[in-house]
Amino acid sequence: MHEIDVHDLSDDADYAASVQQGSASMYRSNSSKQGSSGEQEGAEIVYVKDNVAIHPTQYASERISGRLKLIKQGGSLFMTWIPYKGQSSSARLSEKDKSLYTIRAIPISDVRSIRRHTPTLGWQYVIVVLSSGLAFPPLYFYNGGVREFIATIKQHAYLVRTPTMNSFQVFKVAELQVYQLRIRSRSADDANVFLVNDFQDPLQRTLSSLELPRAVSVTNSPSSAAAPSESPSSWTDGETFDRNSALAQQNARQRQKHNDPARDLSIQVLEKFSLVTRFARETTSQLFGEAQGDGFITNDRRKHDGKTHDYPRIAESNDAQKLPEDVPVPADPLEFDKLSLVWGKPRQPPLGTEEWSAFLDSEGRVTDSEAVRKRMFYGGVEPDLRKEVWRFLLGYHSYDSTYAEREYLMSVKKSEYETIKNQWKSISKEQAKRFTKFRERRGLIEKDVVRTDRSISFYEEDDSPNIKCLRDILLTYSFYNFDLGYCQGMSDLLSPILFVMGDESETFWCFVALMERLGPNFNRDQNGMHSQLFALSKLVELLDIPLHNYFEQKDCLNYFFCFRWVLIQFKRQAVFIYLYLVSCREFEFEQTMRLWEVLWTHYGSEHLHLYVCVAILKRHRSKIIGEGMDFDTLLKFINELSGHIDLEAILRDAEALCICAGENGESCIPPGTPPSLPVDDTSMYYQQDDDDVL
Amino acid sequence: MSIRRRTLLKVIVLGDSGVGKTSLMNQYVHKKFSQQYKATIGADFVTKELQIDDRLVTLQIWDTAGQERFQSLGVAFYRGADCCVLVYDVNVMRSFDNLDNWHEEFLKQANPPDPKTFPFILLGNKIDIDGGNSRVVSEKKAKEWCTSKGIPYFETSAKEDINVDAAFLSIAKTALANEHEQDIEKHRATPWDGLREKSLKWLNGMSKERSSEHYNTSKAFRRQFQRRSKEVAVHAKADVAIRVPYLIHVVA
Repeated sequence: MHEIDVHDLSDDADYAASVQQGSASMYRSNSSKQGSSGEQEGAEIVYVKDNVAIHPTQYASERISGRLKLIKQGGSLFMTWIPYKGQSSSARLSEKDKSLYTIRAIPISDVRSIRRHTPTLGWQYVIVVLSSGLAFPPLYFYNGGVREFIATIKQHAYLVRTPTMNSFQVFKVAELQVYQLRIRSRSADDANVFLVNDFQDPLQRTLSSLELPRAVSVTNSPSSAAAPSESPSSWTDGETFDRNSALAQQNARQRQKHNDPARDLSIQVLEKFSLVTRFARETTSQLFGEAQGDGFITNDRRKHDGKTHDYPRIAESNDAQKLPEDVPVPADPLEFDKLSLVWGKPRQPPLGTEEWSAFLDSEGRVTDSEAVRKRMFYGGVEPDLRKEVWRFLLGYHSYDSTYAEREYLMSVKKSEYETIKNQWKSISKEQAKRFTKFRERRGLIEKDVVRTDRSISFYEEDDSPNIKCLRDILLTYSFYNFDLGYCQGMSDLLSPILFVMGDESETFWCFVALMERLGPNFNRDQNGMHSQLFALSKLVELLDIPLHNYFEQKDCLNYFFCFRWVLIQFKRQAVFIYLYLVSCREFEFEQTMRLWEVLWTHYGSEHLHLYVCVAILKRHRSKIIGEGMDFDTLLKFINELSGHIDLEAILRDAEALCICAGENGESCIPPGTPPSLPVDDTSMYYQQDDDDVL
Repeated sequence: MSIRRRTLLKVIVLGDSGVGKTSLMNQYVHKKFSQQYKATIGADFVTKELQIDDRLVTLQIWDTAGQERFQSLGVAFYRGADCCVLVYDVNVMRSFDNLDNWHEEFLKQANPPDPKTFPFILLGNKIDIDGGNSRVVSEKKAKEWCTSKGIPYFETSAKEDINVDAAFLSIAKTALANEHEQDIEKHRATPWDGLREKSLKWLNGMSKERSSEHYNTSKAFRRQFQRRSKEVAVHAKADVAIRVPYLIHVVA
């Protein structure tokens, strides 16, 4: 990483110099060359600006001032911003706070865009957005120099200026900051976006070009200029961010002990973001506090109630403002991309055999189940390893069991399975004649197994033993859990498990473990489904109030259009295509399994699948709202939503939404909502539930 | 009033799991048959346009899950239906016996204005199997059931494409006839008295703006009416809320 190489540039002498100088001084590139060229071999400072500050709180007086530099080394340009030492404008800001904000030699090649803002009142500032999605807090130029800053970069990097502030789609990031800054500086704010390196990535280019027409139409409509600010509002809930920033800081402390450079890097990103969000929250809370006399700083935010929320009201009003003019709600289709870029952690390659065995102790116990779940959350599992790992993920094996214990369990369970299976195997034809319920069940199962995943070669043959195996397992399950019996959709959940496990008895017990959680999906009264769809509606209300309002207006709040997604965990309907790879059934099957194993980790939330729903809906919100979809159209749209979902991206989005929603999100989900274990059993599984708290 | 106008007819297909609902629809709309349709989860629909006399009609045919357990979803999917198609498998007695249940359940959930005259149609599917040798429900028996309820009956094979077009054409005509009757009825009395006063002015404005023919179709009229009524409420709320962003500007 470049950062490490150039880290030393920001040495103590540098700090001291800037403190001594105190007031502004600005070197043009020529003069600075000689002045500082001794710092490091080959490094050349091409731009220096003092008194460039960030505002960690809403009070400009609490700024952290520092020095911004552009350094050329080798063929690359780096940007640094180092806060001055011992010159804190406020006692509230510790040195530690400051060092969190320090920008240590970011290569300009890592910068996606630079956004320049010139508020009518106050100082010019820029927001630097990295291609990773991280946006640094706004840098305020107390002594001017933004123009030179941009100009200097221009000399060294490919820079494109986008025409207006409404071209927000290209910059995609810095959602929260921009949102609140827009409040601060009003919409008349003169901002310019400079794209750096944006066209290196063909996908980016495609996306940008696709977005362009929309940007134009948005620009033309005066009433929609305010639109970008409406959606993010619903996430800027103080409580959530408070928690996140606290969490991030707590994590940071832990991480420092571990001293893992890779982790440090990611946590640094998270920390910075948490500080930014704290900044955003405090700013907005102050504004709202003054505007309404109470609210954000007070304590009742925790109660999740749309009516008492300050933010949703804003969003609603924005929405309503547009209605009389019959403007199609443009509701900022991009805020979400921004969100994912800011939050979503890069996905990892799937967990492999070697790495997995490193998680096991000599007797086969998983020593750190949290870590392994986390690992699988971010990458899934390699296909060959699934057979072993899914047993843990599904809860059939416990993480602290040994090889021997698992071996023993397997043999016990095998004979137990045979016993249950014999219960229906021994039903004679004569007996079956007088056993309507059995015949019905068997008929239903036989009808469904022959139409389950037949396009997968594993189930392709008409007389495939695997189809018979599906039938036997489902019939056995309907005896094992006679009350629940068989319900359509179960075969869809079972077939990938059999595909992975191979063994009939093991598949059965894994399925049993899955049904412990998903069984209520198939309850006669459909309460499991209703509670999930209800929770989904609450989550959308929390995370995207305009979309919620839209669904309400269209009488779609039952969310039945997501029924299939939830019932069979996105199987069939959502064909996940990663980066336009050729669509094929086997690939779809594989992607479903990848999604499932990620969901089953229950890392972060047991209900990630609901956030996945929200993420997909949000991805398509502009289409949904823009085309004015009603219930029917929406159902059709969602049923046919295939080939357009990038699984990895959706997972990142879902993760981001889950983090954003935080406790408020969890409070949207009634206790016992699948795949949570039924409420009555919580005492039994207390430990496990505890693990699932983020 | 224009002679040609497009009418959307919503048709719900019901019947036991595996009787061939999805196959019938796909044979009718896509002229295809597959042995490998998946069990329908939730609901889905296909559309087909056809001309009946001087009317352009869009049939929206809804496919639903066949398992009884999913019937509670019906409320959402059945509403606004113009016709209900019941399907059974002539080779499975149980699927015929369940017709009463489907019939009753539909009326309960869809809650049409006049349940007694709401149009149904019955299809006995899979007549091709075994050359008819394995059938257990005779045509006579099925017709008797239909006569008792005043329902037209067709015997079909989705696989061999027997009678499928004829059946759906009849469905469309039945639904269209019902639509006419509803038209007459709807213009006589509108049951939304609560919001009516407030919304009607606005709605009138809407009708003048756009071609009146569109709004004369009773269903479109009704839907528009409901939507507009809701928007009135939204606007009332907005008056209060609009002040908030204004304050932000002042503070900033």
